[in-house]
This record gives sequence, structure tokens and C-alpha cells, in this order.
Amino acid sequence: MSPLRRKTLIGVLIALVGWALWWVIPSEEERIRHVLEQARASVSSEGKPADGLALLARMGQLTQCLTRDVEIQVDVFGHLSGNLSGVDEVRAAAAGMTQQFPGLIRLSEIQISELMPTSAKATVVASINTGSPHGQNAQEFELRFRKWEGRWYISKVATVQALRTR
Amino acid sequence: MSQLSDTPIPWWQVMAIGRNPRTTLMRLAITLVLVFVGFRMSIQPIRVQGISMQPTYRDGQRRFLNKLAYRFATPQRGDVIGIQEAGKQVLLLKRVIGLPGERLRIVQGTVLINGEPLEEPYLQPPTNGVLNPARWNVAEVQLQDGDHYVIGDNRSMRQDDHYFGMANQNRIVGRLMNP
Repeated sequence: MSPLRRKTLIGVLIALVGWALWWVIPSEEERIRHVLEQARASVSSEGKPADGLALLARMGQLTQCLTRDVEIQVDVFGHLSGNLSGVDEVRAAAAGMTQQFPGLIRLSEIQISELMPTSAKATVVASINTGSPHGQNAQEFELRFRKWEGRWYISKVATVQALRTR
Repeated sequence: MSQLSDTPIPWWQVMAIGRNPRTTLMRLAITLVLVFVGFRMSIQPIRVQGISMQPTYRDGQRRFLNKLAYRFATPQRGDVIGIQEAGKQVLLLKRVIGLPGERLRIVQGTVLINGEPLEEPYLQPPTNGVLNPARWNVAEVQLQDGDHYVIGDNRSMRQDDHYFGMANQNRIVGRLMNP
């Protein structure tokens, strides 16, 4: 094999390995999206709400997505408002919500920004379809993520307000 | 071959598909793509939902937003605009009543801009004898750069049930085309 051909072959092999690694190893953004999807799946219900062990499993899955000191600030005009802090409070509220208002939750327009080695921000539109004629509601949220021991966790969730009063 | 190419094409065929059907098809495809892209970039169809803009706009009406309206201009008082509420698909439809730099407050239903009452000819009283505007009160706010104060035309409803306030320029999608 001529030296030129050997060098070309090595170059192609390196490019192929690089591409395969890029394909196999998820980027930080993909890891964050995976956490978002996991959190969504744990509070979304198709058909009848989960109960008993299924609910317990879902809340366990949700807990894996949140930091211990997670903060949730919800203020949806005409619907609900309130703050939750700490993973236990959030888990209890989520369990109650999925039982009382079961619905299919979809996430769209996910934008990840301010991606740092251990922190990131994301904006996302969450829509819930409760099945009733006017059961489709959408709300934009801003989420903060923290990375701990190689895994991303949601540390803060706040509603994005289209209009401000002050 | 030369005999074929010399055969005159019937006029109706030229009118319908041109002298060269392949070129016509290509032109048609390019035109359709350009129209589609242009439409997507400049116009957004919307369906009015809710009662906050009644009686000017009613629940279920279909309208279009001009997304290019504020590319080289800023929203003006009286414009009906679309504001991003949740992403790019769910919009609020509101009327601009306050502009950046102004002081605004509402006293007993009357909007005061820098202390002067604002004339609002678009507020039509409903037929059931309810006041429009009702006696709403909002404490004075100072609008910063890029902030526009927006509100619905239906001020006969309860103030607490009406979503209004300051919208930042970066959440304004466009102006209603057919007010």
C-alpha cells in the first residue's frame, strides 16, 4: 500500500470513529432533553390516571429528574398559582395533580441556552390535553438545570409571563 | 425529429401548460415554494378564542397577523397586536394603549396617559346595559424602553378576569391585518 493511500485510509478511519462517537455519545443538550422527556412522561397520563404502584413508580421517576432543593413557581393567569420548594413537596403535588387532572402532556419548542459545564437554562412550551372540548391548554416555562455527578437535574421551574403588571 | 419540433403547438396547450411543459412545471414549483415561504414568513393565520376582545373580535373568528408590520416600525397606540403567550403558536390578541416612556394609569375605567384621558372610540358598549369600560382601577406604571401596555376591548368584564399589562417588544409577533 502506498504511503498516500495509507494516510488517506487512516484519515477516513479517524473521521468515521469521530462520527460514530458523536452519534453514540449524546451531547449535553440531548442529555437535558432526555431529563425533560423523563419528567414529562412521569406526570403525563394517557387514558385513566395511574394509581398504586404505577403512581409510585412514576413519582420515583420524577424524583430522579429533580434536585433536592428544586423550586417551582407557577403562575398561570386564571388557573393556578403557587410556589413549591423541595423534592418532597413537588412529588406530593405532582402525585395529586396527576390523579385529579389526568391529561396528556406534550412538550414543544424546547430551546436550551446558557449551557455551561454544570448549569443550563431551557424554555419549553408544555401543553396539556385533558380530553374536554376546551381541555387544551399551553404554557411556556423556563427551567434551570444543574449537573451533579455527570447527570442533569431540574433545579428550578418558573412560568413565563407574556404580560407583566409591574 | 425535425418534423416533430416544427409541428405547431395548439394555442390552448400553450395557454395551459406553456411551450415546454417541463419548464412550466419547474416554474410552477418554484412559484409555489416562494409563495409558501413568503406566506409563512409574513402572515400568520389566527383563530380568536375567548371574550377579552369583544365586541370588536368574537370567539371563533379567523384573522391574519402581519408578521412584518414591526420589522421597520414600532407598535402604535390603537394597533391590535399578537403577543407570544406560549411559544409561537399560542398568542394573545390585545390592543396597544400605552407606549414606551409613557406613564399610564386607569381611574374608574378611564385610561390616563401622562395624566391625560385617552379617547377610545373602539370601546363599544354592549347591548345588555353593562358599562364598557367598567370602573377598573390600575395604579400608575412607568413604561420602560420596549414596553407596550396592552389590554382587551372588553372592559365590561371583571377586572380580575381580564389578562392585561405590559408586553415587551420581543414577544410581539405582529399586527392584525384586517381590523
